[in-house]
Amino acid sequence: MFKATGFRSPADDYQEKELNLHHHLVKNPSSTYFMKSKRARFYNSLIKENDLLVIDKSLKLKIDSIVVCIINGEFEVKKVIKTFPEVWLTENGKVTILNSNPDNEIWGTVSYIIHGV
Amino acid sequence: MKFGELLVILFMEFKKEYIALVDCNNFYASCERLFNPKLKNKPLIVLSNNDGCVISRSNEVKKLNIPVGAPIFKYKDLIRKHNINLLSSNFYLYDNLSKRVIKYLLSFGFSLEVYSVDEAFLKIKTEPSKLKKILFNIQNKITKDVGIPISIGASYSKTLAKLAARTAKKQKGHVFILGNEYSINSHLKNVKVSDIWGIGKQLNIKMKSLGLNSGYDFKSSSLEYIKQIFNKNVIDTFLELNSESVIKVLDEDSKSKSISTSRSLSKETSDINVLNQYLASFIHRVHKKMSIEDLRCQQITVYVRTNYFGKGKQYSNLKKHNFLTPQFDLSVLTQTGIGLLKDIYKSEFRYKKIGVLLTKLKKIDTNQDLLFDKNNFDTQKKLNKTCLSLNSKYEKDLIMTAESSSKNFNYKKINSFISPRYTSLWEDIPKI
Repeated sequence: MFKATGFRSPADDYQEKELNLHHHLVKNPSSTYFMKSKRARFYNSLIKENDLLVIDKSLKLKIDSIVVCIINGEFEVKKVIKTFPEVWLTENGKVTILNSNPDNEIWGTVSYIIHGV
Repeated sequence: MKFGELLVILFMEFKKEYIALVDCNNFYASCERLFNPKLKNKPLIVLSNNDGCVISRSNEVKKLNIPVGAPIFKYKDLIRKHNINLLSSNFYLYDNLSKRVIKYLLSFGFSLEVYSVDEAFLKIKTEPSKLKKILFNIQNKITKDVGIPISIGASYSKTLAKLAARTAKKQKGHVFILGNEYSINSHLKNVKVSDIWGIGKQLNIKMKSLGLNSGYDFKSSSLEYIKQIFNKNVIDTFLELNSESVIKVLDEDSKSKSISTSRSLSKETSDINVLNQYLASFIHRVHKKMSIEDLRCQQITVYVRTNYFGKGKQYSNLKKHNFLTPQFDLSVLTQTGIGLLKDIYKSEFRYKKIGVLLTKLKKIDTNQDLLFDKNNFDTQKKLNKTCLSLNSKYEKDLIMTAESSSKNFNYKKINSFISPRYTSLWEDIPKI
């Protein structure tokens, strides 16, 4: 920082840390990963092409969560519509039952979708 | 004493001090799988630097009896037959995920010693009845939240924890506790002496000749007997097997830190200029590691050696330099390092290996600077910051000392099957 050569600023005692966007978006650094969406997803393009997805693997699965999951060996982004006793996922009305393939899994929950305008 | 108080004492449990070893299962293979679902349940081998040898195997490959360290060309047929996936090692990724596991472990609040990239010891003081729950909780959380499967073995010493962790890997739930004399004894009866932490080949032969075959044979010997025959390390191991924690868990505060880089040269050389370039580039690298952690070093060591297995007379030497004040100026470190190399360099030898070690590390702001060093200090700090931020901005070593960047400088790593740096480069994050 530059020091004032004349009078000391009366605001010196009120210095605070700069807002840090990363800390705001990444609540759990050990379990947060970033991915990019190759295409637009969901109605009204909730996720746009090339959007950055912030994914927190520690979040609990809830109805209406947007999740990154592995379906038949591929990463997919889906919305959770039912969590018990089976997990039901959907994208644009097409329903997938997670447990239909034992290798399918929920990879993590999307905590933020970041897109430029 | 009232009856109620008596009851409380009767049912009160005393806290015990446990040591747990947290071990990431098939660590490198697990890191690769996290971002590549196609590798799930498929055989996978991660190769060493230069793609020469096996360094990590998925369980499917372990079953095929391909050992760690095996040169890959020997197993070509088996690899083709079983469609084994081969990957170069991606240490950027492994380092990132290893740090996540450690950070998460720290959040549970126990003292912790990082033992290797995929192992850490925890010291857990708790009532015996609560231990299992604590360990299962740690196991579940890290496996799910970080995405790296771990197993945990716990007992009263590091040596026993190591043994417990081996069993934990094969067990459902991936947690195994050796919590009482009975379970320890029956476990040790099925353990070969050579499987015990710290018992190497030579010792194993000696033990066998003495009729100590199982871990239990060794453990149940008398201390006097062991003391007469073996050195201090073996006595420590003996005590550890008898639930006495001799090898302490070293947390961050009790550890003296060091940072080092060394490499075998692709071509042996006696050219001082080539050696200088290598050294400068290594200093550049250790300096970068040091800067990332906000550290300064008070001591630098340079070492060289020729080929142990070569013909004729061989040579190795090292030299240290102590700085008056802790240093973090790259150019000072480079100059000093090159000076040290000049002192130990002998032109008649061809060198195979060269390395640099920074020790006596301190946090940047804890040091009292010498008065006359003060001005220099601020300038250094700024210069350093600028270089670092430029280098990280362009994600390459854009700014280097002149010594370390020469055009005919070639030590290239071969890594033809390397995965993207999913967690450390924006261009490389998974696209889904």
